Amino acid sequence: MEAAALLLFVAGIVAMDTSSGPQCLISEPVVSCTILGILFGNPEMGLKMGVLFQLLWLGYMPLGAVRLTDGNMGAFIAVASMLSASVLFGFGSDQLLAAEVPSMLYAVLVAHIGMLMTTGLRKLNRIRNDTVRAQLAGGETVSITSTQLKGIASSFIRGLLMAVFLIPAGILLIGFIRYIPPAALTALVFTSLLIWGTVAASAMIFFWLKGRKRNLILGSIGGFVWMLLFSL
Amino acid sequence: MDAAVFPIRRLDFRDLFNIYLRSYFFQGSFSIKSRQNMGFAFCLEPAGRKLFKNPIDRKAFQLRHTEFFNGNPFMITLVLGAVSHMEERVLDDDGLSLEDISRFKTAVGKATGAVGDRFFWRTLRPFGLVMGLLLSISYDIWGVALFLAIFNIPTMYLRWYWLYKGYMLGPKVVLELKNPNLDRASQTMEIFGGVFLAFLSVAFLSNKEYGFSWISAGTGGIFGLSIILFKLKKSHSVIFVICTGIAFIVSLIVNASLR
Repeated sequence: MEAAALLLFVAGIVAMDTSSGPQCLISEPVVSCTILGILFGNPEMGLKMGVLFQLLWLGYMPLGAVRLTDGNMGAFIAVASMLSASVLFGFGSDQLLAAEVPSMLYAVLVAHIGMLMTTGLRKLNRIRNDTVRAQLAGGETVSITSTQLKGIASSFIRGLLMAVFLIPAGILLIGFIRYIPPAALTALVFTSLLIWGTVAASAMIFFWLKGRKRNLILGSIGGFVWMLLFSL
Repeated sequence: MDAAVFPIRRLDFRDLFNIYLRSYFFQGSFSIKSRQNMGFAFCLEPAGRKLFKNPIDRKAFQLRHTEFFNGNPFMITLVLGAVSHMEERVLDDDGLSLEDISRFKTAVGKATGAVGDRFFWRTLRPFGLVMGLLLSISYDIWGVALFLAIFNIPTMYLRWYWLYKGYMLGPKVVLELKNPNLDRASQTMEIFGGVFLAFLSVAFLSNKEYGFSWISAGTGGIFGLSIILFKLKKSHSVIFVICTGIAFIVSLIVNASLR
């Protein structure tokens, strides 16, 4: 029970840090998923999933009013679902590796739901802000601090609601991995390795777009040299 | 704070620190229409309380600071400090008007958006991540701690520095936006970030555990396909789903042929 409450609390904090504050980046997948890994007694898996989501969504930044898929919540809910399913259903090591693939796809879905909820929240903020301005213009006394606190609390509640509804749904979905035939399970394990190609490409393209290809080429040559030296 | 080096007298350290802490929740009521207007007024509340004892003046202060505002959340303290300074000068009838404050907020808010977004989101964050990933190869979760430290320590310092500078210099603080040290730091971090990320990607994707197996070739193929799709400006989510599907089909085929 305490673990569930802690999970919900962390979900609220992740949602809050993403959009409201303090924006000290504890909501970034590499941090939040590692925290989840520690909570579930598997920090390596948490870190690995965090790195994966982090690199995938490296180019997603909450700049101004840009509508972006909520990768932070997507990663958090998906990894929480995966690790919970692993504990509840007693996944073996192959099943846990294979579960990475449905978890990643689930994260993409949750990230879209998160985006829709953020848009809704911003509309709610607009109504609240307009009301306060109208009251001030009419000479009424209003508390700016309480209005702001309501906005922050709304973000926290968004995270909480997402966790309450989407983690159990994720557990059920990822739990189906137990019924997959062995050949498909092996294929999923391989897929979990191959998909690092997309993840690395996503991160590379972020630096590439900034017109600094020279740095990427230099780093790639360094990587090959390092790899060759270690292979010898 | 020493009065000799701090000629504007009304706000003390406690007020400034209060503004500083509030600035961490500047985006709490973000809306598409008026952006961070409520956040700006919220952060400036300690200054309003100190400067305007009369409720009518206080409401007017709140109303003018709940107008549209858009700026970078990490650099906002620069505007908050300068606006506090300007409000004091308006009270003292010291050559500034309320229109000047409004114009300053609009112009400098936009500028902090451009400078701050580049420095914090596009440079410091990815640089911290890459450095954290490098460390996590050997020290696991300590890499995460390094990432948080690289991002948060300079951010905490700069928030306070800009608030203090803004309050000291008033509108002249705009010169801080052209600080060459920020530019130099950005360029250096961009170079190191790119080099180390490419290094990590190549070294990891060509992991000796896989050797020159079909997995290495497959990962390279997926990497190449993803780069092409990213260049075609497809959404990350769409690319990810397509590549996962292809990777699964390839894995099924190879797995069947290996049996």
